[in-house]
Amino acid sequence: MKIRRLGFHAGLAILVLLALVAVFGPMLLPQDPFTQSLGQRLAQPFWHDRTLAAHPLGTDQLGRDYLARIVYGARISLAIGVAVVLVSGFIGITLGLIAGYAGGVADAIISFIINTRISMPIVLAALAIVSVTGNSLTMVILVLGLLLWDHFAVVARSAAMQLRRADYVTAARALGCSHLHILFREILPNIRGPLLVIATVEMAHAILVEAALSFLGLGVPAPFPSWGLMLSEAKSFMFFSPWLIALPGAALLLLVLGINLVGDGLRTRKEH
Amino acid sequence: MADALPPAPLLQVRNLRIDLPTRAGLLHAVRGIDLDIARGETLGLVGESGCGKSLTALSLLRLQPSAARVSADTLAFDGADLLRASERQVNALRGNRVAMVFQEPMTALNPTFTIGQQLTAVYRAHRRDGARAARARALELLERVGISEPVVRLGQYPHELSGGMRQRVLIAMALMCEPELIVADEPTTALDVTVQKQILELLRTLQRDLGLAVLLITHDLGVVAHYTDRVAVMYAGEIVESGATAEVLGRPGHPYTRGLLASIPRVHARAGAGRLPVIAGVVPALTEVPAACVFAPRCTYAAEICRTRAPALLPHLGTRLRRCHAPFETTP
Amino acid sequence: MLVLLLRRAGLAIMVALSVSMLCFILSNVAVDPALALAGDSPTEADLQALRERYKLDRPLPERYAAYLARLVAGDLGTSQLTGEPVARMLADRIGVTASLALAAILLALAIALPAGVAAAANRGGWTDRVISFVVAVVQALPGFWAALLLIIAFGVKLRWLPISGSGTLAHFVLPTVALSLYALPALTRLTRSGMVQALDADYIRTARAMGLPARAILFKNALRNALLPVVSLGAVQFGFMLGGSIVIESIFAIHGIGYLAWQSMIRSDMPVIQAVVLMISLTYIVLTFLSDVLNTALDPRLKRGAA
Repeated sequence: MKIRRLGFHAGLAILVLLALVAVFGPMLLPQDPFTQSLGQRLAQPFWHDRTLAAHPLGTDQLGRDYLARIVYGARISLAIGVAVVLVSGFIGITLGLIAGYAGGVADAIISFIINTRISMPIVLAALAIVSVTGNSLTMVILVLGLLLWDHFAVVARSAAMQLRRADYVTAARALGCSHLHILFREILPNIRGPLLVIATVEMAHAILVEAALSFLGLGVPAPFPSWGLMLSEAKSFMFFSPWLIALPGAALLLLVLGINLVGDGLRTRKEH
Repeated sequence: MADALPPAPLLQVRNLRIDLPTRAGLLHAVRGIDLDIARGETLGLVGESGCGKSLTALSLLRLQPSAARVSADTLAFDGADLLRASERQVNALRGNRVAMVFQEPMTALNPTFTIGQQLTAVYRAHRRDGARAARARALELLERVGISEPVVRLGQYPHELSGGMRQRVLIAMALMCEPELIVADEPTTALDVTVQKQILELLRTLQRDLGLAVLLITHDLGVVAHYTDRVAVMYAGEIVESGATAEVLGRPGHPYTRGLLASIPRVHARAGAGRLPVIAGVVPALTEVPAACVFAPRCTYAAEICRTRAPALLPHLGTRLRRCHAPFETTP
Repeated sequence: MLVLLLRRAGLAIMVALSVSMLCFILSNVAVDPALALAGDSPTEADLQALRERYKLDRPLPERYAAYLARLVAGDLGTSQLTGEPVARMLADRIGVTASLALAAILLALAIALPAGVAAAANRGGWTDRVISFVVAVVQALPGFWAALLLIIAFGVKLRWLPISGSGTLAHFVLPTVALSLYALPALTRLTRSGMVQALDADYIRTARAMGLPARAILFKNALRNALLPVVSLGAVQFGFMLGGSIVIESIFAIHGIGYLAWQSMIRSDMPVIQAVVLMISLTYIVLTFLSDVLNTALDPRLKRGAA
């Protein structure tokens, strides 16, 4: 049991740290992530011999400060993660609540939509859509939001189905409460826990998929320092400048691990 | 005292203690009980749920939950010390010389194996005779426990059998290796009333034919009355009374036993005989060992001494034992 | 049971149809197909000519019906870039992708099953904690980063294995390992939780009470109950990998479906994109359905009906 608590707190610490870095980092940094300096390309980070004082984490192939790019990348990943969860959560919870509460035809239709959505592999569908509509930050958020809502919907639906027969719901109906009121005041608060857990899962999912999309060139467009894009750009140089892929990858790993630990901790806490 | 000493008991337990760590502290679930079971006799262990009887049964074969801490002065089967025995030695006893039958027949069988596979597995775990002998034995026992079409049943899965049949299968499983002691933990509680009687009759027949000793754990005094030779009444982790069944139930020496007897609904009671008496209160959960009698808060006979000093388990009317301050020799 | 399966099959077909509809919409509505076909700076007359030639001015439902008819006949269109029939392009490359995915799922199972059993048997102990921690890390690992690291470690530093192309069997080792990492965490967790549940069950207590040896209890009695959902998930993950292999194939330059998909997406080769998405989704639907069948067929409780 103690290890679970440790995991949760460690994850929370990581998230808070990265959030602070994302929010305040760019303001505190001397360098910005976009300025190129072709004379200072591929400078090495501080744990190597030939470092430049101005660039503690080295520079990339265009001379841009890597520390700044990593920090800015945190902002991108976190922003995408939160935005996608908001969009997909809204879609999924709404659909799920309607399906579970109303039942009948609405449920059949929405369940069918959920099944269709599940049948399409996310990365593939996202790539296909973005290749048609063009890639931008907004597009990525929209597409991922439209693809990652199914877990929310499934949980909301089953909860609504179970709870619509609960005594307190019947009592509320008897008191003349509207359906909307019941959904928001009686049912939704009861599934806050599982929904929060799913939110963490989907947030991690969104961040990883965005990284994959950017890696393949169809996500956040250059010159934005999405960690996935940085990894793609660094591929050609990775044999001689391994920090170029070590740092963004480790950053992704750390962020997603933090989110997963928090999610796991919430799940276990809920079970008590 | 010219008679020979009675043979040593098959199962001998002295001062068994079981503690369970819980969030609220260390729960003293079983607080020093003694048990003796002789060959061929049926001992009933009766008490309400939560009194520790199931834990006691499990601990005999070291099957208690891993968090539980078991200690005892003596825990011996046929003279062999079970306390210091290795896991392998205890495992050699399980299903072999001592077998358990549990309460829930619906879930006690593995749904992905046939009846035959599960029965023969027990036999082959302890005997080297081979598949054919195991199958023959399984058939023999299925017949003995009264299951129709045993050959068909061998190939069936548990979900194809009713609850009563599954319990018979479990009894057959317990008998596969000719045990000397059967520990039956509420074997009929989960079954229909009509089936209950059949199963208990079956157990009694088997016991007589095979010379088995049985530890029958139950909360039902009716079962105790008809199917046990001796009985031990358990309350809050302690034995409060024990002795020959007929005597204990005929002239109970402990207020708890009296209360239990009085609360059995009687079919032939006069109409208007009044409300069914109940024992007020609930079984306490014991995170602290009380200095007084544990039953005192619920006891209608409680006196001052009961609230200040815990009674010891003392001889009563010859071969009986009881744990009470109140004098009950003469009152009916 | 047959009724249940027929109903599931019907549902699967309907889902497949709606996926095909979405693919059609993607390639014919989201983007003006005439524009895509036309090339550089077409005039309005050029576009109109194209529309007439490819019947693009017909109403949508008619075009969709024609599209479906072509699909059923096996015509997946022709590539805008190479002019090849898409069906042939897919057929040429499916073997590579399928073998890669199969090898990866087998590797994942070979690791996940023992790990999950070990973790469950040792629940709460150090083995369990270490395994759970490793699972958590692998789950957070970006697949393409793991692939790059594998390349650096085994391809460059140690020079044991080739790092691109699909010539020899050795070429498949690193991609298989990288791809198996996608399925490993979920399979391990499912095995562990299934085993934990199985070990808690009453029938395990019966087995212990009957003196069965500990190893038999673990591997025969408990695992058999825990295995079923894991195998089903494996089938589903296999389909999932077909889609996820895009990343791996592009990194290791393995010319399978995933690589083809990526190339066509970069170059906006619409017919190929559409066909790939459709094919992989259909495969996924079929695999999910098969996994349902597997579940139903192997659970003895559902086979003969409850007593």
